[in-house]
Amino acid sequence: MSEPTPIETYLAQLDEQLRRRRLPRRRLHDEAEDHLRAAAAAALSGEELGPLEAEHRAVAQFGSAARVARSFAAAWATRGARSAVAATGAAWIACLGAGAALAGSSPVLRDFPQGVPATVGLQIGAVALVIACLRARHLRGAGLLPEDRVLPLTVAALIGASALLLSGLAELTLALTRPAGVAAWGDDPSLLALFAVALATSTIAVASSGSAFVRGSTLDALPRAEVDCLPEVNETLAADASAALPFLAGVTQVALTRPGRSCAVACVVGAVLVTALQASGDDFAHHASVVLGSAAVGVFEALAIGAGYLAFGRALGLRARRSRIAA
Amino acid sequence: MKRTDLLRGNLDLALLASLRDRPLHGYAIVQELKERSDGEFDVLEGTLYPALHRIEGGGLVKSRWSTEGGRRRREYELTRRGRASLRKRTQEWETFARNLNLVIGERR
Repeated sequence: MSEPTPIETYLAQLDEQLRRRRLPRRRLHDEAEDHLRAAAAAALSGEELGPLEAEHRAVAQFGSAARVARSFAAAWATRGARSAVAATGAAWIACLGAGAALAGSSPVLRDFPQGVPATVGLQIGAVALVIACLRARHLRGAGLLPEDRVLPLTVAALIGASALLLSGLAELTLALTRPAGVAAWGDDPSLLALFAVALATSTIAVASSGSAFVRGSTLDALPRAEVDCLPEVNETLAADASAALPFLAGVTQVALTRPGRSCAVACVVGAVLVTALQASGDDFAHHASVVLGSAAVGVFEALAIGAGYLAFGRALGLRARRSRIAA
Repeated sequence: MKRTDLLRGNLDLALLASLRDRPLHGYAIVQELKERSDGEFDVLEGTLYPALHRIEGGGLVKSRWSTEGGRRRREYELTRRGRASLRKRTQEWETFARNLNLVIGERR
């Protein structure tokens, strides 16, 4: 059995590096092989090198297998992040359509607490999607997503998509367990179709975001000293928000440097708005019971905002990690 | 700053420009970059492929397998969106270079 040539050895190393990062191998392997053989042939004919030296030259100019695999991992992670944002955006629009149709349907179909999971899911999804879109500004014009943005973006997309899917499943469970049951939903096939589309797109978004998250995780860990120098997730969010929305740079900076107070303000504003909306839609808005009922929904909204902030604030980059706070 | 560092920051523009006139496979793109830059753009050739895959993911180029001399190769071609992006990036670069030249000129 003959010794492997330098090109064959290199291709085996490249395959191993790609396999370790769980990256697709076939296409890059074939392109690399074609490139290396063309480069070796050119070196053989143009520079009077022997076959082995020509292959060594071609391999050296191509770059180490680890470096090429790492570049490919970064590009692959960027592609995954792009798909995740697009899929989550599509899912959010589909869920909004289904939610709006549910809100406009007969009272039998939207009997309380139906609509509550969808409302909460859409809000969490909207916040996560806005954050993902702010991160995605680096993707404009097929740009390469900086490594310190890959995971925060995919986490935001995954949180948004998961919230939408879970809220859709919760709505489905509620619909099936209400007294009117499936029969009432069967009277409105368009609503059923919209919910089916919302659930399908949310499932695709979760799969896409999860896959993007795994791709982002395969990027090599940097040496420890460099990792310590990387900016915090909420610092990069502040930078991305200021760059994407320069006219709101002051507001976003204040909001992200004082996240607790900003959340409290959002809770109060949310509660007032929801209370007002609830009361204004009722013909008996002057009755104390209606005002109290509306206020209760407003308080629920404030609690949902607060709970969402506590549950996902750090992962989304809305507040600093505990270690940074302690430091 | 090394010339290769300057190229790395503008690699997408260089790749799109190399495909302006005709579809090319990876090795030919590298040769095109070297020829057009009089050999100055001497990057690690393997790192161009991830960049090509990325801009393909962004819809700026498309690719297909072709057979040339019995060898299977992947050819890259600008899309309509890629041409528009190339025009825009070229204008941006020209404006930037012109302004930088003005600054450098004042300091001389």
